[in-house]
Amino acid sequence: MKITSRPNFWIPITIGMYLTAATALYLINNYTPAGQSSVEVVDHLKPFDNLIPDKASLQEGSSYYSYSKNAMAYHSSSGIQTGFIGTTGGFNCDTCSIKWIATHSDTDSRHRKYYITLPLWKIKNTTSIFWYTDSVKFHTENDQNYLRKVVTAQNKGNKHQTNYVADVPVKFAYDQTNQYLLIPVTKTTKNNIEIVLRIFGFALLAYLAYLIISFLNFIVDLSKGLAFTDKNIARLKLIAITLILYPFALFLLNQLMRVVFYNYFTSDVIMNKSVWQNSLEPIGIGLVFFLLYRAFAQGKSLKDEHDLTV
Amino acid sequence: MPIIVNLDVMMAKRKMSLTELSERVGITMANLSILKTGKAKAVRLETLEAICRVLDCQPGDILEFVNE
Repeated sequence: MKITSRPNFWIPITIGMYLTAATALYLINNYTPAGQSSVEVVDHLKPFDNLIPDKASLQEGSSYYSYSKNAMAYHSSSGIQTGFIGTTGGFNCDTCSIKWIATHSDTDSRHRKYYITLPLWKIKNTTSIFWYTDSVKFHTENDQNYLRKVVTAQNKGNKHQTNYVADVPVKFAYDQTNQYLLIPVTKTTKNNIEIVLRIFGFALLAYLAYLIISFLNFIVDLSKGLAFTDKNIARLKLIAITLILYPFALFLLNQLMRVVFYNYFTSDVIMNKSVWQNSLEPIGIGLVFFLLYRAFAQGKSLKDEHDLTV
Repeated sequence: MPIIVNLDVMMAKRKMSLTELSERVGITMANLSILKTGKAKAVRLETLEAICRVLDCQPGDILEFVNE
């Protein structure tokens, strides 16, 4: 059976879908639930301890150390980042004093921690002082990571429910500055992943360079008057497909991270909105290239017909 | 394509070379070659008229429809 494609039919549908998705994303991003209000909670837990043991001796300008609590930052962090995965690590001690850090941070290996970073995953973090039913706050206590969240329990004897604040231990760490998930790994794993990421990064860079060169060659061909050629059509098609598929590939790879590290994920971990917000631009530009591809394909067909008319 | 171009048959009947036909019809050798080999997608009526005039034949002698 011969399958014939009707691209001219799909173009308005694709553009329509794009506009619908863009409108939907805009509405979702600007939507705030009208009925959501803070809840009363029973909170017997002590407040987060954001101070390192000898905070009193902290000198002015030493704010570097003040972030060592609650995994706010990772000292001398080193690693590489790609769009959906990366690595980081370095000295991090939740229980160490400033004096100890100042003298031991370079030589100590016990408090060196290594992580895989998942920049497109975050927790339902709320910075509000009030508690909402979906409030989640990350903190570290004695080198154990916790999520402080609202837990609803049914009262005995009556149908009323009480909201408690509870610390739930979690396996992941969290970069509160950049707001992304950190998966603890060994140094060897981190190094191996860095090798894979470097190879992946170089391959991606090479492909990107190839696309840019293709686009430049397309412009050079246009300036020479060689517009409607098979090469130009193939170049436009490749650029269009890459730009349109890139956000979907990123989304799939991001979902793959959830599958790979499913042991670390909890229901409080959500995908960063930027995955969708940043996808509109490449898809939009990709659609423009797709329209150009269709126009040039049609132009090539007309040129062939003209050339073969005697 | 179900349209067969019998230009070479008519040229053989009139004992005319491609170069001579090209010169007398007034189209390039390349275009005449496209027509002769059946690669042409369209033929202008004025070209057909010129060929028929030079070869002293009818359009049906040059073009033939074969139901595939």
